[in-house]
Amino acid sequence: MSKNAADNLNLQANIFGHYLVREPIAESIRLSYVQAINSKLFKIDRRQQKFLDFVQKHPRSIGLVDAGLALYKPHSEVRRRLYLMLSILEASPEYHEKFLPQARKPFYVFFIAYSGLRAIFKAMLGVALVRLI
Amino acid sequence: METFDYVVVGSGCAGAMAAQTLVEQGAKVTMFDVGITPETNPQIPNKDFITLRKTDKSQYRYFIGDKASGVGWGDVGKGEQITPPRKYIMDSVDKFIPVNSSSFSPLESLGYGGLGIGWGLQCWTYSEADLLQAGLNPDDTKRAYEVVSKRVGISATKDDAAQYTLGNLTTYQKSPRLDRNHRQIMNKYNTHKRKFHKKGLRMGRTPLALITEDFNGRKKYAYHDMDYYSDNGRSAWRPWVTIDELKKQPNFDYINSCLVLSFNEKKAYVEIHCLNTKTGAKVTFRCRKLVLAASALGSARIAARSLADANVRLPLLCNPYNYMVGLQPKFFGKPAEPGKLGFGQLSLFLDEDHKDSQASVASTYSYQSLMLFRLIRHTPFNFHDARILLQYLSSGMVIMGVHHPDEASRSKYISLDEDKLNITYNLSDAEKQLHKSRERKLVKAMRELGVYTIKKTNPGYGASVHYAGTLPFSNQIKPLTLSAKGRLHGTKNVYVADSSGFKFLPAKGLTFTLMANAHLVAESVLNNEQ
Repeated sequence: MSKNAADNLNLQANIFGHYLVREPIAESIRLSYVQAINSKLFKIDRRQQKFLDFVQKHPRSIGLVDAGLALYKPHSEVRRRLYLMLSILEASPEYHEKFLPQARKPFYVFFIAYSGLRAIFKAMLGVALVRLI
Repeated sequence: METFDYVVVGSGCAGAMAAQTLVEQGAKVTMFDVGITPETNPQIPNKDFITLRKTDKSQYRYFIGDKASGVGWGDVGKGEQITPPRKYIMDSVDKFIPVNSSSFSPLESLGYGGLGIGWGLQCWTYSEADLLQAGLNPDDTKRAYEVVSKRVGISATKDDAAQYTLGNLTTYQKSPRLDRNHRQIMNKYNTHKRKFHKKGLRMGRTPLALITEDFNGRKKYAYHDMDYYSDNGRSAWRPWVTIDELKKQPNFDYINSCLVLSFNEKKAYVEIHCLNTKTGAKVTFRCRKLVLAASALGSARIAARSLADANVRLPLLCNPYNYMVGLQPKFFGKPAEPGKLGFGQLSLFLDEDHKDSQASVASTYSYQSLMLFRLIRHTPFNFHDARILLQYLSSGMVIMGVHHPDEASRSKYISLDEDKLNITYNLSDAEKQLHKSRERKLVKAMRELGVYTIKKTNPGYGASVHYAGTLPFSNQIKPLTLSAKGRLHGTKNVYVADSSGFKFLPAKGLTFTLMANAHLVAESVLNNEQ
């Protein structure tokens, strides 16, 4: 793998990981992601590459792109890579609190309702965005 | 040419039971099997799921596989539920036993232990009506259930659904304890059970091949909730538990890397043609008696290759299956529960006509140890928000696997084309409508029990992994059918000990019955019954 490609994957891992758990990811997670991607040899068409380039250039857009693709093209390459990162994060002891059910106070339901509405709003904006990219 | 006495083909649940019966009676038995074992098996610490999740840095090896090799993508396909440590169940299947079908996606195995490697351990007995319709002798099978139960160790409860789950079985240990989700469901059911009875609904504990007391050198269930990953303590019975014990006997041999392709019966012996799956060499052996226990599809392949004209059609039975995700709002936002049971906990039977054998059944499971990411993939949301939502909801999540009975028809059949098994499987419109209507009623019943269904997934025909009926029992001497004793018509010394003979498939899982049948067939082989 060329240095450029390796740098790209490292950047991708950092962006995806941070997006999913809202904190910088450990070095071991980044390495696992790069190894997994390299072993799976995913094929990327030009359109998918465009999405990847876009989120690497504009890391803050990843939530919208993910939300848009979830409806527009749920099996897309970007989502596949995000899913891979999600599984790696879940299978790491450092992030167990982000995945294992936790005791929540009753008013946490408002946060859940907000998250649900936010997901719908992101989906609407995201669909428009991925059509533009 | 090497000559054997009794040859059992296959190391699955049927093969293990048939071999044990033969060995216990002093017969000299050789098991022919491909017997794939995992190339690298991650050492899974003997700890509970939550502790491992919090502490084990190597957990990725068994939860998602090295280099995330066990992380699937795309539509729900066969083997979706199989976790990385058990993935070897499907190794080399496409190479050695290929299938061609656009309508049916079977799960077959060449692993050591066959499909029993990933079996959900459900051990329902068939009722008398079920057995008669399947072509089995009720009295003999009931006796055989006791024999099998004494061998493998079954946990069960005589409760409101006992007529469907246990029948007259007397040998069993107590059921493992229910988790908090299922305790709530069971309590609600018990409070309102008369109302459910009027609608033809019965709920009870699912009998499992899982021991809750130490038994034959195996440890009682430790409530580690690692049931989809590890067999630590061997509390769950797997076919290899029995075969490992048989290997210690002087009258039992095990030959692996041996795929039986066909046989040729001569006057005094049976010639068995095999493929060495490691070297690719074709080898021929001889035996006095041949017992096929290679699964309904595997035994049909061997029999069709040996006896049939090209393209002969054989019937196929398979329980139609859907699974549903339900939510119990009461448990949202509760912390992960230690000491859960990963296997099926409750069975809800819908038997409106009180015909017993025509009942459909929903088995319920809690969702914890299968990891959140598998669920997140199926939501229409972005992964970040989906993680937050599902983490909150997951403690109130119940999975229901719904099975329906199946009968033979002209639109469900297999044929062998060269070495590929062609499968055509289509349900009639009437069957589809009946299943939909029953699923609606089961969903409604679950709602009344506090579980709200949010998603129904159809994993496609073949996903139930309950296959039968390819070489049906027949009183008439017809090719590619079996006598009541399991002998393949047209042969004198070839018997079939798996589910190939069943003429009907009740919704209840078939494994306990196919093990009982394997025991009976082995008895017939010993007694030279035709």
